Amino acid sequence: MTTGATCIQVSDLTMAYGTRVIMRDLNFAVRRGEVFIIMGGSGCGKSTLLRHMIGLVPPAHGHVVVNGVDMWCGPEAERERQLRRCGVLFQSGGLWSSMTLGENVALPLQQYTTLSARAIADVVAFKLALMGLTGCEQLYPSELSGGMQKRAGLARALALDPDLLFCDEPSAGLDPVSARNLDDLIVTLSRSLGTTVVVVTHDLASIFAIGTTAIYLDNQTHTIIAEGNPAVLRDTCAQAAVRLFLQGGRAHGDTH
Amino acid sequence: MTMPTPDPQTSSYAVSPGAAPGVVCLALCGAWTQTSAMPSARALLDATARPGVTTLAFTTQELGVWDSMLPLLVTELTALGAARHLTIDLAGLPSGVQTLVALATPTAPAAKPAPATPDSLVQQLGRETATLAGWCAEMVCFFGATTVALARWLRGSACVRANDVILQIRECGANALPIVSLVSVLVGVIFAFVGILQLRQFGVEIYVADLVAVIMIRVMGAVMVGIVLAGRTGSAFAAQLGTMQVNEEIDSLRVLGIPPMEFLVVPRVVAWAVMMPLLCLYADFLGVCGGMVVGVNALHLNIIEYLQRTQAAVSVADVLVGLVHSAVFGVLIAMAGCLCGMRCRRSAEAVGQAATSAVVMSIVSIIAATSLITAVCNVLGI
Repeated sequence: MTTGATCIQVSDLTMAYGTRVIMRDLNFAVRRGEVFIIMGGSGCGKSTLLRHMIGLVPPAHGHVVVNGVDMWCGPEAERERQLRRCGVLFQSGGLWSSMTLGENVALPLQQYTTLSARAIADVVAFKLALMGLTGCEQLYPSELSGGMQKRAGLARALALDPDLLFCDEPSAGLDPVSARNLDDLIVTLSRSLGTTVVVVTHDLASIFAIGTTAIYLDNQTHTIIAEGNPAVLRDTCAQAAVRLFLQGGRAHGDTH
Repeated sequence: MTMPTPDPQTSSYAVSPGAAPGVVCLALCGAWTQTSAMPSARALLDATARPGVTTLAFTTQELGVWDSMLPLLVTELTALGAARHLTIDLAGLPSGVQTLVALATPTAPAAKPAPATPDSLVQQLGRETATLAGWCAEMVCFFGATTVALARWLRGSACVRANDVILQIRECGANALPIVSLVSVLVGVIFAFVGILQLRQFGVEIYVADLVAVIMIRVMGAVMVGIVLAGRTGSAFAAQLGTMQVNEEIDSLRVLGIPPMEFLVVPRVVAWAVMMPLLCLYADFLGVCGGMVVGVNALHLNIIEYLQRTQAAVSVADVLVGLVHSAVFGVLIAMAGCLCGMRCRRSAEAVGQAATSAVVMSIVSIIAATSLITAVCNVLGI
């Protein structure tokens, strides 16, 4: 997979809840076409970092620049226009429980495109078909299994054909086969549509299967201690904590 | 193949004969996206229709940006083409488009849902009646289950935490005092003002003390407290239990063998049955005070005189009737809140509906119970 120009630049980012600093001095860039993995132990602030990148939480210090637009220093309208080019798959799907799947996927299209109602219905049916949810338009989220909710969430995230797709723990709560299928779906769709993907996960199978670049957030030092291709990091990273994480917690250093 | 220079922001196409006989070639140019005014699948098929053509192929040398609208169009072309005995050859399309078309084409045709026929009036009427009957049955069942749970609690074998009862007593008792005070004083003031206007016509303004005392103590104290608390706490019960239902908290109680009727409903019903009569006495007292403020100021009555009239007007039976009212209301409101919460479905909207219907049900049952108790008292001559 060839990678191109920088599309997200995070510089000197410090994340804090009140006076409690979660992570400091984060510097990294996501390049176009990558599948970028944010990994780290439980509770280290992976999801918080994602929420900073999609503009839900203002940074305590530093900048998040998406497609050349600073998410917090520019005008509000510019930020919202930028967010429209981002799709987000939340950890539990984030589907609106009082709307059917069809309505969930149609809402962004109704809000931000000039397509006719008929065309929107066609697009919704197509997006659901891509996720293997053909004919599920009339179902409510509560009538779906966890895996189907994730796929429906993905259909909604991709409704507007975003340049950037953010996924928070896409494989959490799924069996290995469903998790793998969802990973494959994310990669297939993003390659076909040229989408850049940012994934927060600590699932090793996903990390090695789909990740092209990864950063490791460390709980002890509260910053990034490794960046690079996950397979390379597993074998050659200078930081023992990163090797241990990527080898699935087995303490021996040279085998896997 | 010649064509005008395409605008890179809009969709355009050119049709030419293909290399093999029976093949027509569609050249896609410019942008094919949500914003580029793409032609419809039907229009494209009409444009490429030629006698003897069996295959539609694509060339995309001049194709600019595209998004998922292009694979959607190709999927539609495939479906429409099949009806016209036209094969769509995907080989000339970008590999991304081919992947997405393959992904969107289900391996097995989806089962078509049966076409919905609108119900006749009789069917609708029947269904509504059945729903209503089911709803009544549910209320009776809930009442029974609550009674059983209360009986088990009285025998000491129910799974009820004393802390929960105390928490609920604080929530529906002490925390409700400010709003109950405000409402009952004002209700007393209103009765006194209206009463004075009427009684003045007969020159017996002094009886305003009797009027306020009897109406507050016998009925209105209990009713006002009931209505205020139905809106304040009854809806909160429904929302709380409904959210617990959504979060599978009630399911996790069940699997632990803790009956939710005992763990969640009994503390609330008990707290209300205890606190409502106390709140009612408090409201009665403040209502009489409100009336007295008006009586003393507007009629220049002596405070002692007013209190003596009040004392003469009210009997022990009046106070007891008021307390019975309030205890019944307490149980009804708590049960309405719990019932609506427990039968809540698993969505955010359902929680809102549960809270609303808890308030409506509480107020309707308060009014109905008041009528019933008043009628019974009339017959018994209390």
